[in-house]
Amino acid sequence: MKNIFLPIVAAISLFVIMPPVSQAATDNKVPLKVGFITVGPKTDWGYNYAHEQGRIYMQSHMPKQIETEIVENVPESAEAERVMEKMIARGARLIFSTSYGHYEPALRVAARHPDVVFEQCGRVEKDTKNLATYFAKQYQPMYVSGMVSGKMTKTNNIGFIAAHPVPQVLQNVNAFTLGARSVNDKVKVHVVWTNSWSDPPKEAEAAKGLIDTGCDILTMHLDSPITVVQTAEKNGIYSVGYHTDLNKFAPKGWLTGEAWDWGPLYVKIANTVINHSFKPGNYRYAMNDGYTKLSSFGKVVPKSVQQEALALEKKIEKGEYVVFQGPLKDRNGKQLLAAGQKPTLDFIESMNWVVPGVEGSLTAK
Amino acid sequence: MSTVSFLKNIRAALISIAGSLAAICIGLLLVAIFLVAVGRNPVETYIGIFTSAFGGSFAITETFVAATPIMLTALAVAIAGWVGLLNVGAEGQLYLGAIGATMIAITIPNAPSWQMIPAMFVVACLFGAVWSGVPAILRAKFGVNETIVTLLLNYVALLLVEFLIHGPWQDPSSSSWPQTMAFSDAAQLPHLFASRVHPGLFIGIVMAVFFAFLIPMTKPGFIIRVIGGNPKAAAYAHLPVVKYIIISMLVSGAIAAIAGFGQVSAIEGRLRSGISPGYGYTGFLVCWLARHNPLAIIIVSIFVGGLLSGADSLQLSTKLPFATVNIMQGTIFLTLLMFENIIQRFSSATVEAKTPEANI
Repeated sequence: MKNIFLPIVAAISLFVIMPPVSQAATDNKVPLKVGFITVGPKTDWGYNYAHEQGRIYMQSHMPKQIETEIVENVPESAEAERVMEKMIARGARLIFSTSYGHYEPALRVAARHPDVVFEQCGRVEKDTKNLATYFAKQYQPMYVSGMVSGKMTKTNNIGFIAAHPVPQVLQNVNAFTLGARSVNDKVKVHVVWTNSWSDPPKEAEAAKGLIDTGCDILTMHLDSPITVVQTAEKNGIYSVGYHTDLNKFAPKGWLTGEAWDWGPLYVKIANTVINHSFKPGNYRYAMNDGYTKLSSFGKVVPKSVQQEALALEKKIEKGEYVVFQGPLKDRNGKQLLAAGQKPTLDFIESMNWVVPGVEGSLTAK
Repeated sequence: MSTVSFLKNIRAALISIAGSLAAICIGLLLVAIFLVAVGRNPVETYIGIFTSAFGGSFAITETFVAATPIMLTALAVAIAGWVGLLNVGAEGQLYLGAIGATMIAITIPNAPSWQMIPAMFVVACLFGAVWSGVPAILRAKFGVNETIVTLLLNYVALLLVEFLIHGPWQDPSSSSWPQTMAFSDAAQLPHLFASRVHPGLFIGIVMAVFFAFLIPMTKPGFIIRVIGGNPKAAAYAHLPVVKYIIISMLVSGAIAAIAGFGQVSAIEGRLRSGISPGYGYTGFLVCWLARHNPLAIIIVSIFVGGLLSGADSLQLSTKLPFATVNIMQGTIFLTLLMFENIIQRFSSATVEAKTPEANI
């Protein structure tokens, strides 16, 4: 009897001692400590730079309510656990784990600290109490960028340099290709995988290889778009950016691209923690929320194409056109969605196929 | 006689540790100039690093977590060093250990832990021993330079891991993300003191103490010292040189592999490419700083583990970019290596020896 009694008492007292997540998370008098981890340098003019800009925006818009700190170059391994644990030991009660592979470490740390809120960029969470995922539908501006590229290409060959064949990246490859082929069905998008979020020598090599095989537009899904954009510029061809607006770095060849604006979302998220309204879940925002945007147009893009792109942007924002709506077939002709069918979150987040027009193997090797 | 040599051993360890400490202080002085230049208070910065590495039980356990693979790989380098070989391949042997452990964890995922853990351990050691066995045989039988072979095999090991996690072992549920499935609970080494410290740390310490007795006080230890001192003379004296070189290298690879086993089983819970941020190379450095002395290896790897783990505070409290971490670690490692010569002169005057092997 004795040995049953003790665990029961322990369990009950745990419930009593442990306050609910939202209450423990903050106290209005003390600023909320917020920690950010990024996989690469925050000065990469790309993915990590965008998160750092979001953090700076957040800090300057709620200077009294929050205190932020950031650790860059955190590998997507258990190293990330140590950094997050140290942030929590220093008082962080909201942690942004911003890279794809920070998710598994964040899950482990989240399970150990029920009083800390975790925000994972991308991925899909299931059954977590103190971890939510957020992302903006980056494939919407990429679809529009694809449309612009379909109009601008002369060789009908476009190069796409991509990191890992994960759903997030395939969404862009497919949306870009669908967009290009919506105005030019001769377009072929040649995908090269680098197997790393950041490997500039490999990216430059892939860019040169794609240019040699006749691509006249390059785009990418890498942490930093800068290597590919500058290689394209040097070789006198067009580029479509990703993560940030690099118009000024490629004045001759820049077309457009996707750019993040995380700041307002980060303010919103911090407020959910401060006023105890945080709820776990998978939050996905669209282009009209403003966290993912179409970049500025380069000088070379004719006015008529710009207007057409802006009209398409409007159509997507109003929901008149849904990227990945049915009828949708993969490269092998397999029907994925019937006419009129709309894609679900799971459908998009488990993407492991490519649409017709995508050339190259689906696996990195 | 043997007690005298063990005491000598401890004295050599103390000299290496004191020398390393002095060198770290000079490195910190140099970094302080840089910190002042970028407008930070060096004293506050260093207190921050120290607190982040050794202040409080959480910080200390995280330092031990980083020190564990460094200690094991440093020991691996030392074992090869005692017979006069340069094993630069601890990083690759670590990865092979991780591959071996993972192979068991994912092929018999439902086995209970009393079968799983020993099987993972044994296979990890075997894989590591194979990886160091190749250069050992090439060296012993054909005189091929083991430094080059072990170094190049590191790259092969990394590519092998990449192949496995992108191909046959990729987690079917993780949608193309390069990693294996998560290990079952039975395949995860238990953690100690409610932290991430795992038994690998104690394996490292026990091994180091074991070798600190074996090498100066036993007959095999004597043979190893003779071979390390002069392999030609050893062969002339009909000592089994080939056998000892091969066995030493096999043991060396197996011990480095334990580090990989610990990383996948206790720290990551799965195999992925970033399981070691260069622990094998750091271990090589630590071994030379400790002058191949197993007792000094224990202490120096905890220093260096603290330096790696405490560096987080440069970004957290001092708000300096990551590049500062590289500047600090680079400067300190450089001063440590430069001081290595000075320490060696000082201690060879007292212990009458010049080669690190002979100090044991």
